[in-house]
Amino acid sequence: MFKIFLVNIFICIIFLNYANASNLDPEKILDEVDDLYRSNSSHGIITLSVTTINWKRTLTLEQWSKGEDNSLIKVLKPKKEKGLATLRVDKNMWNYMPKVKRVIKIPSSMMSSSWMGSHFTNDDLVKQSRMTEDYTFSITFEGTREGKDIIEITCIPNKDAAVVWGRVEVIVFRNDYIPIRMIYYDEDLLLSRILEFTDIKIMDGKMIPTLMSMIPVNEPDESTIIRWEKIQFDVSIDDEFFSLRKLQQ
Amino acid sequence: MSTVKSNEIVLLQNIKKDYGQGNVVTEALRGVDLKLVKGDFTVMMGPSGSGKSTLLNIIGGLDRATSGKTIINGQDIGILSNKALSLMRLNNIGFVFQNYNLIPVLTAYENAEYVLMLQGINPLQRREKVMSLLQEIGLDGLENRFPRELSGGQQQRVAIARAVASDPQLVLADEITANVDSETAQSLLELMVSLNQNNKTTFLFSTHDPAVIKFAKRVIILKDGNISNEKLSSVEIEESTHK
Amino acid sequence: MMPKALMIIRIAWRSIWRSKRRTLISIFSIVIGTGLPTFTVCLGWGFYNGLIDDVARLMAGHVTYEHVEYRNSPSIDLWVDDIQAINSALNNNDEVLSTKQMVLLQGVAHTAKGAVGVSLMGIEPSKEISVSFLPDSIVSGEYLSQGDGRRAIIGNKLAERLNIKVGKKFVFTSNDINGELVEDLFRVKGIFKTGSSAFDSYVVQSDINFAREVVGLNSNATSQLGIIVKNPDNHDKILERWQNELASNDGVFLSWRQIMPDIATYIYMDRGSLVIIMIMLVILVQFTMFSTILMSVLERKREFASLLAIGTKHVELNLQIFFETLIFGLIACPIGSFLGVGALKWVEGYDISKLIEANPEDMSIGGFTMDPIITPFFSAPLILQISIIIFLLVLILGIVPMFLVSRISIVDELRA
Ligand SMILES: Nc1ncnc2c1ncn2[C@@H]1O[C@H](COP(=O)(O)OP(=O)(O)OP(=O)(O)O)[C@@H](O)[C@H]1O
Ligand SMILES: [Mg+2]
Repeated sequence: MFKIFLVNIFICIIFLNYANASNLDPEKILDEVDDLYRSNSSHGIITLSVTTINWKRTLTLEQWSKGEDNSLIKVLKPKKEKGLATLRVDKNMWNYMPKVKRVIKIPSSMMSSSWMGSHFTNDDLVKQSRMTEDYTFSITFEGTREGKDIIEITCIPNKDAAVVWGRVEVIVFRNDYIPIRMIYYDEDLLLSRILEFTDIKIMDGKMIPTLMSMIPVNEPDESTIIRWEKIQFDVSIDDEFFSLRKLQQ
Repeated sequence: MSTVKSNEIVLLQNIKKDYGQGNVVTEALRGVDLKLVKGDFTVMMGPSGSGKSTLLNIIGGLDRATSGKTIINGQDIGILSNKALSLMRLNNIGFVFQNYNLIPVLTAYENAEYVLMLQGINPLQRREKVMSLLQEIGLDGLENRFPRELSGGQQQRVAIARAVASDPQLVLADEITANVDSETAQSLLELMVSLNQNNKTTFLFSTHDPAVIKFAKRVIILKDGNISNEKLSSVEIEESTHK
Repeated sequence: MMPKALMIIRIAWRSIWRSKRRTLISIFSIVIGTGLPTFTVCLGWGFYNGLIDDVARLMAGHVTYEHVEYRNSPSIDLWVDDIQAINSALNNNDEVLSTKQMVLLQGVAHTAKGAVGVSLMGIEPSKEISVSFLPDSIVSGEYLSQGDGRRAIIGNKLAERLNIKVGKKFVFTSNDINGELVEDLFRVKGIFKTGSSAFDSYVVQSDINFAREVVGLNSNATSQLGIIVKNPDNHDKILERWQNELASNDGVFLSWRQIMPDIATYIYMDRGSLVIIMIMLVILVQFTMFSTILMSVLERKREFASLLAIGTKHVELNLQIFFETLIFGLIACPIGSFLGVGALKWVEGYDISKLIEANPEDMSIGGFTMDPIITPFFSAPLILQISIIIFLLVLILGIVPMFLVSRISIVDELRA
């Protein structure tokens, strides 16, 4: 599930992607951000740490993705949860519980529950990238801020778009469009949550931030942190790979 | 039953009555033989505890003898069911008790009418009978009073009226003068004598009162549960009057 | 025979009044024994009926028409068709007060604050305004009107959890009729508060037409057709007839009892406990009654003995005792019913919340708050039934003293 979450984050990023011409076309920049982790397909190892007021846990996950719509995530560690897997194909999600050897399709009523106890919901993971449909973009800052040369793209949801935010700001490095931070505001334009991208490393020949932290603003002591341990891009994966059968292996 | 004995109202043969069980048995009656014929006006005397009430109850079908035969009007009542006994009491026997035992919620008139009612006599006949009876016993004008509104003597008159209203063949009266003064007692007895003479009603009395004897056609003495055959001596009468 | 019976009645009647105190105690106990159940039962039934009616009007009617499978899994792909025809047939029916169509969607409402599972009721606003109390429960904003589209009303608890106010937006996620995930933006037009925390934290209402659009349902199909009948008491009979005459193959008419088994069970149990309390009370009252009857017989043993001595039959004495209790019953039961109804009339319309100053949620049944205004259920058959039951109980009690009479020993009683 975690991976799905990851996937989703990608999607979050992804939803910012849509290319257009022009030197500083915000949609083009978002498109690049989106492509950053995904390429055509990817395969990687992720560590997920969830901190809440009451507990903290860390999972190691293996993740495969292909295109926008297919992804599979399996838990490697801890042992207790090993084999737990989540498959997403289009808008559908399934969980595989190795202990009871059962596949469960996640019904819409469960979409709001937390995915693996993190600060993401199942629903977060499934959301389509409809960024262009749902938002209007504009570049609202370009220059140096906190010693970094950045571009700030502000995404304003379109009227009637199925978006809960009032505004989303995406901040990237001006030179390579590597994301630095995404800031989510609610409808009253109050800060709601922040997704930080740090620890930029070269992986499989690509410069990517290998650490993503999600901090809900109203619970500052809580967080969900995703770290890319390994990632390979453009690996060849069959479409059949994203099947219920694979889920159970 | 047979025509020969058709005027035999009461025939008792060797009546015994024991009270209690086991070691403490009271022999109230020890083999009483008695015969009453139609029109008798009999007074039964005897000391207290001699069995007078017990005997009256057995004759009246209120109680059953331990042994012996009780034949009333030709019928052995010892073999009758309770229901038949109650019918026998209704149709053949009138009771007068020492303490009246009137129905407190019925008026003098209604008390007298009660038995007629149970017998299913039609209203007209009832009215005629009861009115003339009340007049005869000197209660006209008081017929709408309830028992508690009457004196003891008046109540006892109502009780007598009730007992004789249905023209029973036998009237049993247990110490009916005990609770009234001697004048009243006198008049009650005169009333019964006249009823005896006019209607040929058979009367059986129990009493301690020697004044009653002068009205009696026949006197029997009960002693220790037996009828004594001796002629009454005045001493005995004296004895029995002072219980 | 007749004069004898009359005389027995006369004796019975006079015997009753001879001991006024005892008679008053007996009558009083029967009056209480009849009046109290009448009062409580009519009051309770009134509450239940009010509750049932409120909830039926709020939800899916006294009778609901829905897909046969819908009870097992209330999902949007189990809808009933051909609603227009059935609806117009029902609305021409004398027993029907109104009908309401509803499209029910299970899903999730999100805001920046979070996501909450909700049930979206697509309704016809004009119908709800005439039928349901929800339009009167709006605490901020306004109720829906036709053509409101994305505008929705939500419960106050839900609004709190989503941190949302009138005019603000939320995203609703659900499955359409093909099982595909759909997401739509809604704006809060109004916030309601029914007092039922289950309802207030779970329900979203929007115009049915928009709800249909969201899930791809045609305008002749709906999840439920709720039917408000004029006389909810006999809805079961009508329901069967409709099933035969109107229902399509996969449609079924159900009673509110099947639609809301929680409330039905709760009411059933609550009624049960009410009845048990009533029975205990009645037993207590009957016991008083019984002891006074018993006493009156024991006190009159001598009187009965003398009646027996002069030729009265046992049956006739029993008849007398029977008449005595009969007279008690005949006098006291109607008075009891009358006083019970009088007391009900007296408390009718009173607002109990003033009395107990309780949180309205303390007075909820199955999550739904009872109307605090007392509205007794005046049903002549019900009141009569209670009266007759108590009356019969009194008569049955009268049997016991008869055994005593049959065991009277005349000789013993008469010995002065
Ligand atoms: N139910 C009873 N149980 C036991 N003994 C009884 C019972 N009834 C009467 N006896 C006894 O039987 C005897 C006869 O009693 P009974 O009442 O016939 O006397 P009596 O001649 O009428 O006396 P009195 O003149 O005082 O009325 C008495 O010794 C009495 O104690
Ligand atoms: Mg005696």
